[in-house]
Amino acid sequence: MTNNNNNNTIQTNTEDDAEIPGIRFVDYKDESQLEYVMSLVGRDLSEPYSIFTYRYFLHRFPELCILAVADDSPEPIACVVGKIDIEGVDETEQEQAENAEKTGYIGMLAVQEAYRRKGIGQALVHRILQRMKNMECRSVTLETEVTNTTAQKLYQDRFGFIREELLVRYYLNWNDAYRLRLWF
Amino acid sequence: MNQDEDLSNTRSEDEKASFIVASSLPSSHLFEDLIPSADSSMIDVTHLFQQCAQQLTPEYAFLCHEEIHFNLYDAMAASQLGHEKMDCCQVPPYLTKTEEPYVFPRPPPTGLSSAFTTLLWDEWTEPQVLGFALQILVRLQALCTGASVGESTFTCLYAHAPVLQDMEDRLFPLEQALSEQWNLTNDDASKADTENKILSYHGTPQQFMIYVLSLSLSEITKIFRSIVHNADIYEEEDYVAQTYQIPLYTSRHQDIVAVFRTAMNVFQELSQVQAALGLVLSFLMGFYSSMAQLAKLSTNGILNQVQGVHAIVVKAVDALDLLLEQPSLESVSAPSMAFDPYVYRPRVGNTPVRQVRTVEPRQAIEMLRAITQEMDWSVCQLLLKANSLGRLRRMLQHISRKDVNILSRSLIVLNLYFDDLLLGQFSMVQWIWEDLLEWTAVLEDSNLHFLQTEHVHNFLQRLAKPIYDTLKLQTLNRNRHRAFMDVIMFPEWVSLQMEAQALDGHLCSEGHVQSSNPIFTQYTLVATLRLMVQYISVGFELDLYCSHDDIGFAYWYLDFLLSGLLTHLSAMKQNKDMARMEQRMKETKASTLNGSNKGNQRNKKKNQRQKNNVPETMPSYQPIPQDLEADFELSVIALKRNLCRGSLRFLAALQQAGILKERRHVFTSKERIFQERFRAFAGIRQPPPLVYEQYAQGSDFSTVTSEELHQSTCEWFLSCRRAVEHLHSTKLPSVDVDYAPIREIELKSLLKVCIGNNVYLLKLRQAMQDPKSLLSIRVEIETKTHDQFCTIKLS
Repeated sequence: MTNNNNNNTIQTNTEDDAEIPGIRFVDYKDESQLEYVMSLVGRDLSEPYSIFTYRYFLHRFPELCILAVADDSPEPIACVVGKIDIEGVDETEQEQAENAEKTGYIGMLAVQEAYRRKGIGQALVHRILQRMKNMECRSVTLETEVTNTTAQKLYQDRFGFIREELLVRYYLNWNDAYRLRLWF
Repeated sequence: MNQDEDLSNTRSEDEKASFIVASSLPSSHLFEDLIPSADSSMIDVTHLFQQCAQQLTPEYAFLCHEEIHFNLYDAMAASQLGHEKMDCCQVPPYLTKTEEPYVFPRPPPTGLSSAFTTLLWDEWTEPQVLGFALQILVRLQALCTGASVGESTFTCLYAHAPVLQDMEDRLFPLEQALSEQWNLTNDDASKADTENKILSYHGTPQQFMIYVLSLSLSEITKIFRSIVHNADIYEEEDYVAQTYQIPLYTSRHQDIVAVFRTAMNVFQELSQVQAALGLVLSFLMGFYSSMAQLAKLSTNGILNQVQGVHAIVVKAVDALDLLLEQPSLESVSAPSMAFDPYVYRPRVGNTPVRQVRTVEPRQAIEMLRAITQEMDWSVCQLLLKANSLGRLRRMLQHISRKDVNILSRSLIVLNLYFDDLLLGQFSMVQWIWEDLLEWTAVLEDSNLHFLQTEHVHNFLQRLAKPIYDTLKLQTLNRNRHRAFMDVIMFPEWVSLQMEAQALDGHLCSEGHVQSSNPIFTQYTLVATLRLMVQYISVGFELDLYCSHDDIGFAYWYLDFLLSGLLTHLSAMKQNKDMARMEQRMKETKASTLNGSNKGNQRNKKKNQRQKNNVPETMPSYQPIPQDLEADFELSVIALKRNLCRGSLRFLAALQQAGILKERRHVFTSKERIFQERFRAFAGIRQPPPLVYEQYAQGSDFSTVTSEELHQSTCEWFLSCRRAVEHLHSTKLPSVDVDYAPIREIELKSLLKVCIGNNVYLLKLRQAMQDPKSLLSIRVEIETKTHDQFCTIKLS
C-alpha cells in the first residue's frame, strides 16, 4: 500500500497486517500441506528443491511458513517459507548459542498466477518479516535473480531491502543473483 | 556432498540407509494414500533394497556405482528417480526440444572400445578431424570461462586417460618406443637432434591428429588447473576444482612440444583441411607454451623470457584471427559420438547439475582470442613495463576494471612476487620507499640516512605484506573486492595507521622530520582512503545501490573520501614542490658561489647579488614522467569528486521538485540503511566514520531555491565537462597510456555522463515551468554509460 502525500514521502507499508478481501492467511499445519507448498513453489522456481529441502524448512521452522487461502479455492494459492540462522555459529550448535546474532532467511515465496497483483505476496512477506522481528532477528536475507525485477521491486522498494552482494553465476542456469538484506 | 571423497570412503553402519515402509499399503498410488498413518506398524525393507542393488551391474544400468553400497544420499537420489528436475540423469527438459538423438549418460570410457561405446578410430575423414579440432577449442573455451572439467574437457571422450592411453599404445607400440629410447641413449646423432625431434608413429595422419588434439586438450587442462590452483585466487564462479574422480592423463611423452612439433609436420598431409587445421595446431601450441612459460619464469633474464612469451602470444592470436577467416568453419562437424556433455553426471550423486553450456566454434574462437590476448596486454606488459609501485598500482587497477579471465589473473598473482622480488625484479621495500618519495617532501640526499634508521626500515618491511595485498586485491573478482577489504584489509590498515603515527612521533622527537609533515601517517592515511574509495566505487559497478536514497548515500560519502584524498595528496605534493624549489635554490646558489670564487672581477654585480643571497638565474624544473602522472591522478580525483557533487545535487533537485520521493519503511529506516551500508568503515579511525546525521545535514538543500540548485548542479557538470576535455587533450597525451590513471575510453564515457546529465537537467527546468508535466515524469538512473557515475534520465 502506498501513499503519495504532500511531503514527498511514500509510506510503503501500513503498520498493521493488511487484510485482503477473500484471502485468509493461515499458518502451516503439518505434512498434509507439504504437497501444496511444493506444488506452489516448484511451479515457478527454476532451481529444483528436493522434498528434503522443503522438510528441512517446514519441520524446523513451521511458524515461518504462512499460506494464503482464497475463498474461491480449496487449496492454498500462495505461500512464503523461511528460516532463522544464527550467524557465526555452526548449525549443530545453534540451539545453544543464546547470544549469537539471529538472521532471518526467506527461502521461498510463490503466488499462483491467477491471484497475482492483489498484494498477496506483499502481505505474506510483511507477515513473515513481522514474525522474524518478533523472534529477535537482527536482519533478514534472501537471494533473487538479477533479472527478477518484480521481486526486487517488492523487497527493495516496498520493504527497504538493500543489495548486499552480487553472487556471480549463483544459479544452475549460470545466472547471477543479488543477496538482499533488510536491517531491522 | 563431495562425491570425490564419498566414493572412496567405506561406509559405516550408521551411514547406510534404512528403508521402512508401512506394513500395509493401499493398492492406490495416489500421493496422499501413500502417507503412512500414525498408527501403522513399519517394516524394515532395507535388505530387499540391498539385494536388488547387488544384482545390478554396469552392463544393465546407468546409476550403479562401482562399489555396491547404498547410503543416505543414495537413498535420497533413489527417491527422486524420474523427477524431471531432481534426477541428475534425467533427460533435461531443455534438450527434449532438439531433434538430435540423445545419448544417455554413460560411464567414462575405458578405451577406444568399451562396454558402452566404440569410439571412431579407423574411419576418421579429414573434415571430421577439423570438426573435432574446432570442438576441442569449444571445450577449451568452456574450461577457461568457468566450466568444470566434467563440463568441458571430459565431455570429449577422446580426452579421457584410458582412451589416450589406448591411442598412444596403437600409435607408438611398445617395441618401437623402446627402440627409439635405445637410439636416443646410444646414438650421438639422435642425442644432438633432441630439440627438433620428430616422433614417428604407426597409423594414419587422421589418427595422429585426433590423438594430438585430444592430448593437447588434456595437457592444457592440466597446466590451466595447476596455474589456477597455485595462484589460489579463484572463486566458484571462475573455476570448479572438482574432477569427479575422472583422472587426467600422464603421457609417456615427457616433452609435449615434440608431439606438437610432429603434428605441425603431419597436418600437411590432410590436404582438404590443411589450412584451418594448421592454424588450430599453431594456436594450441602457442597457448600451451605461453601458459607454461609464464607459470615458470625465473628472475635471471626475466625480461627476455617475457619478450619471448609476448612473441608466442602474438602468433597464437594471429592464428586465431586467420582461423576466423576460414570458410570451412561452418561446414565441418565432428562425429556426435566423440562428445558426451553428460559423461560426468552419474558421478555427481543426487545433486542437480547445472546446464552444460557450449557455444558455437566461431564464438569459442573469439573468446579464446580475447583470453589469449589478455596474457599479452595484462601479464606480459605488466612484467615488462611496471617499474614503480604507483605505475604497478595503476596498471593493475586497469586490468581489474577490464574483468580479465582467471587464467591471466592467476598468472599475474604467480608473478607478482617471487624469489623475494616484486615482479621477480624489484625490491619491495625499495619500491615502497620510492613510492613515499613520489609524494612526500623528503629530500633525496637524506634517503640513505632515513633508510638506516632501524625503525623506518622495520616499518617499511611491515608495510610490505599490506601493500602486496592492495595489489593482489586487483586480481580478485570485482564482486569479491568488498568482502576482502572488509574482512582483511581495513583492519590491517587501521593497525598500520597507529603504527605509522607512533613512528612519526618518534622520528619527530629525533629531529628527522617536522611535526607538520608526518610522512608515514600521511602515507597510510592515503592508502586507507584509496581503499575506501574503491569500496564504494565497486558498489556502483556491481549495481548494489538500488534506490535513489542509496545512491545519494554513496555519492555523498564518496565525495567526502575523494575530497580527503585530494586534500592530502595535494598538500603532500605542494610540500614536495616547495622542498624541491628550495633544493634548486640551494644548488643554484652553490653553483653561483663557485663561479665567483674563480676570480671574475667583471662580475661585481654578481658578487653584489651573491651578497644579497639572490641567485642570478634558477634553472626551470623539467617535470619527470612520474610528476606528470601524479598531476594527472590529482586531476582525475578532482574530476570524480566534482561528479559526485553534481550527481548529488541533481538528485536533490529531483526530490525538491517532488519527482523523487523519500520512502519510509515499516521495518527499517534510512538511518539504519546508512549505518549498515558503511559498516565496513566503522572500525577505521582516520578518516573517522560518518553518521547519518552528518549526511542529513550535508545533503540538505532545503534552504536553497530550486533555481539556485539547478544553477549549481549545471555548473558542477559543466566544470566536469571542461575538466574531462582538458584531461583528454592535454594530460592524456603527456603520459604513457599504460601508466595513465584513466584511459581514453573512460574519459569519453564521463564526457557523455556530463553532457547527458546537463541535458536532463535542462529538461527538468523546462518541466518545472509546467507543474502538470512534473507528475508524468519518470526517472531512470542508469549506469550503462559509465559504471560508477550515473546518468539521471528523465522521460
